[in-house]
Amino acid sequence: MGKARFSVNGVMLVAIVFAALLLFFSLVMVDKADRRVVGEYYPIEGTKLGIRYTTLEPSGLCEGSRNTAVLKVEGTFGHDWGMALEGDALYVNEYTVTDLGITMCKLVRIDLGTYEKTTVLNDALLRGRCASGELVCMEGAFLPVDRPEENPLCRLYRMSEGAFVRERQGTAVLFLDPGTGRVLRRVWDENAYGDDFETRWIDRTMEEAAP
Amino acid sequence: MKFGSENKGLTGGTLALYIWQLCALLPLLYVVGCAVQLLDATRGGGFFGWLFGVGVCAMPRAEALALSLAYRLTAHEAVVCLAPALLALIVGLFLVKPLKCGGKTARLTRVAIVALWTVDLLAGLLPLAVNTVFGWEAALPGMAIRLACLALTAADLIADRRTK
Repeated sequence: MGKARFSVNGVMLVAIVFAALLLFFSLVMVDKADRRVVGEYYPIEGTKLGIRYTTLEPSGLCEGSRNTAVLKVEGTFGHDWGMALEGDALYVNEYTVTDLGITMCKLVRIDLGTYEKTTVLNDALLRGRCASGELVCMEGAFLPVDRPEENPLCRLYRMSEGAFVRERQGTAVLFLDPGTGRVLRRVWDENAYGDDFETRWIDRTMEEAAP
Repeated sequence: MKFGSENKGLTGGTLALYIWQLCALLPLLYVVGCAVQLLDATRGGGFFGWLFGVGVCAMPRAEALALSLAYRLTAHEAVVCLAPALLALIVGLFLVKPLKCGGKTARLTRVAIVALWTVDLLAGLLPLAVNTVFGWEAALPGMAIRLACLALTAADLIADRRTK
């Protein structure tokens, strides 16, 4: 056998192929082999609607009870962090999960008459309504990451968000008008993921929390 | 290692290319570690998270921004982190020969590389989120790597001028 020549291109090729195979087997094949069945249904109070999350059928907003639910708007919605009904509109979080399990959120508004879904805010997590009725959101939230400002993948994601402005520390807490979805106030919070978020932002009026 | 376009073999320019290529593997290392569950993607990342940051900071700013946009649009870490490694391989396959062949082609290739790295380094000095999002602990080594690539390639051009 002749002398093998060291080549960085060769090393790159081997590394890429090896990495691609590892990623394929650990992300794609393991996912396909996962046979866990999830089927959950969360009724929305005051309506005939509910949020269905299941691995058997498409998830989304449904009409009816758990056993008779008819899918109206498809999507992975969440009610646990925050949801708000405003007249004929439902404000709810919609989630996208990445390959490695980081969940990105956006705030959507669903018209309960036409079942039309519109994105109100990208990269925002609805936490609920404050005492004066405005919607309270966290901007740039990732789940289940506790400190996204230190997580390398979250940092990569945030690099293109406001890439040409000076970066601020902490997370922006937004107050939105529930009628129009317009941002009324933006306040920076360095401890937005703390356990006292509700005490500081939800239990107070907008004027008290963000004077 | 020698400097100058007339030398065929390992020169400053080819070494700079190799450094840039190997740095493109750093983000992939972190993603593979998370995929095989040796690392936790939802935590801070530790040493390998720092390496991920250094790898992204060692990329030209336009490439880093494109990587971030691709991640934002696709939500697939695996694909997004394979892309810079593939790009580095493709660029390496095309650039190694012009850099090693010597003569006017090598000289012009080096001039283009030096110009691009200079613009990139100047853009990297601006106090914007795209430059500071990974913090100083990753941004400084990343900038040092880009500066080293510029210096190595520029050394070849300087050696060329001296031999003329």
